[in-house]
Amino acid sequence: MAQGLDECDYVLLLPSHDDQLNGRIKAAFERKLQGRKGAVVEGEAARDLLKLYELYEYSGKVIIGSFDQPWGRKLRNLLDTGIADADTLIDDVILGAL
Amino acid sequence: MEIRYQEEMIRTIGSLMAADQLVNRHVLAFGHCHATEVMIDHLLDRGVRVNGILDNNRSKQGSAYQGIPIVPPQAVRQLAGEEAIVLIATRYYEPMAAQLRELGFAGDIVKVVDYNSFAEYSVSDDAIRRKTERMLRGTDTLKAIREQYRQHHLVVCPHDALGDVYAACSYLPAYCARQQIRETAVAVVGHGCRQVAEMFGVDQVVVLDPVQMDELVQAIIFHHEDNCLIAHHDRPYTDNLIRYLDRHFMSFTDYYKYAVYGLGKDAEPVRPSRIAPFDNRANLARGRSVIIAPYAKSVVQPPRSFWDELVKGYRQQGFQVYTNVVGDEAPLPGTIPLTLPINQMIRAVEYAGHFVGLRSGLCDIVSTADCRKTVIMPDCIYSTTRFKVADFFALPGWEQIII
Repeated sequence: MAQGLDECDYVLLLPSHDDQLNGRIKAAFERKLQGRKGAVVEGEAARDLLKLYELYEYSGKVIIGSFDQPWGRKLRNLLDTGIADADTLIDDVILGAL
Repeated sequence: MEIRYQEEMIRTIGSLMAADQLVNRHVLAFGHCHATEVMIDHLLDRGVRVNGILDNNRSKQGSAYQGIPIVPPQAVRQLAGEEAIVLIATRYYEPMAAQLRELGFAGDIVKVVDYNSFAEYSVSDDAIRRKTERMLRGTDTLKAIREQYRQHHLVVCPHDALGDVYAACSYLPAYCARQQIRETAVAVVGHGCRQVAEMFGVDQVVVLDPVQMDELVQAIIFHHEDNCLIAHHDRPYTDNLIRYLDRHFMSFTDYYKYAVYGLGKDAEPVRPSRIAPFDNRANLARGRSVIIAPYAKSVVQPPRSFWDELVKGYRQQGFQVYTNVVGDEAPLPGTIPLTLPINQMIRAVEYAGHFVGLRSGLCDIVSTADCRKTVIMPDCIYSTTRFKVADFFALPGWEQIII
């Protein structure tokens, strides 16, 4: 599946089991694509690609749609401390590359 | 820019020049940051004309460095002919190179400095094999650490930077109290960082070299190491905290307080608790000396004339003028070289009476000293953000010179 990266500008991985959060990130992703070609990968396939991403950064097109994953991501700290709200983190950080 | 990276950059450019790769070509840089500025200064010193700086940050586009325009990457189509070469001196080489290819640029792209061992934009079997081997080496390092510190909360400071370790250690007690952590071990790069951790009373310090540290970090990520925190505002690649700074301001110390440790507004950093007395083997005059620290890894060096004037001014006022030097660093002309253990620095500058430092981790180390302190802030932006170094790395209560 990772070989298919060449066909997209961005690939959003949604490894979480939180469907509501996944939906918010997915909607923001589609809104921000603005004509660029994007793909969304969810569920086990997303978790497989995430595991490879935890081995090394194999592409700049991959966006991990999570506050806590890959391991070591600490975005939830900004949420919990009230520094930023979820929409800000989704738009400006998780999807900041778009 | 760290000295070892600067030396690597100079070697790469030297090789390109020896092979006539920079002659009669459009030379472009990609990514306006401190390292790029250093690279451009070096190229100009060697007579190489740079035609443009490509940058994705809209807030930088339209401005210039050394008269060289900062333009969107799309301008590569107009600026670059078949003979063009793009030089990249940032740790974002992989995404930048990929972007240029997507824009249709077919010329040479050169990684001037190999900053980032975490990224390789390939999913070939060979790439996966090499990265797996790298991760396994890190796993061995992790196992060795865990044999020594089985129950400890492992706090990893992944970058060889005194100020980063200072910030990490200053908020570590608040983090441990909040998380009810009783025992910690801190992993750092190099003995300078070890000394900083020890100033905060950390007894369990693991010292690694930069390659070992990158491998360890990768293993920690891959294995989801329990009872462990990577304490940095900008690393590793799996964390994208720094992107917040693309649109919203947060200071360096607040990054550690809020983003790295998740502490509340009431959390306070601790001061270093293990400060050694100043032995004054160099016979400084108490209250009539100034210690100048003109070297920094990650900010632009002011022109030599700035330091000359500074030294001249202090000498005319009757001060003994010292340059803090480490390793083969040269003292400023007209000053006395001074090399001190890091844990003596606070008492040394208090004894001297005045400290003047280019913004570096050493400024953090002496930040609690009770004396006159002046910081030299370069008038440039921090990394790939749009915020000034002077704002991001602000030192409240210090006299400040922006140059």
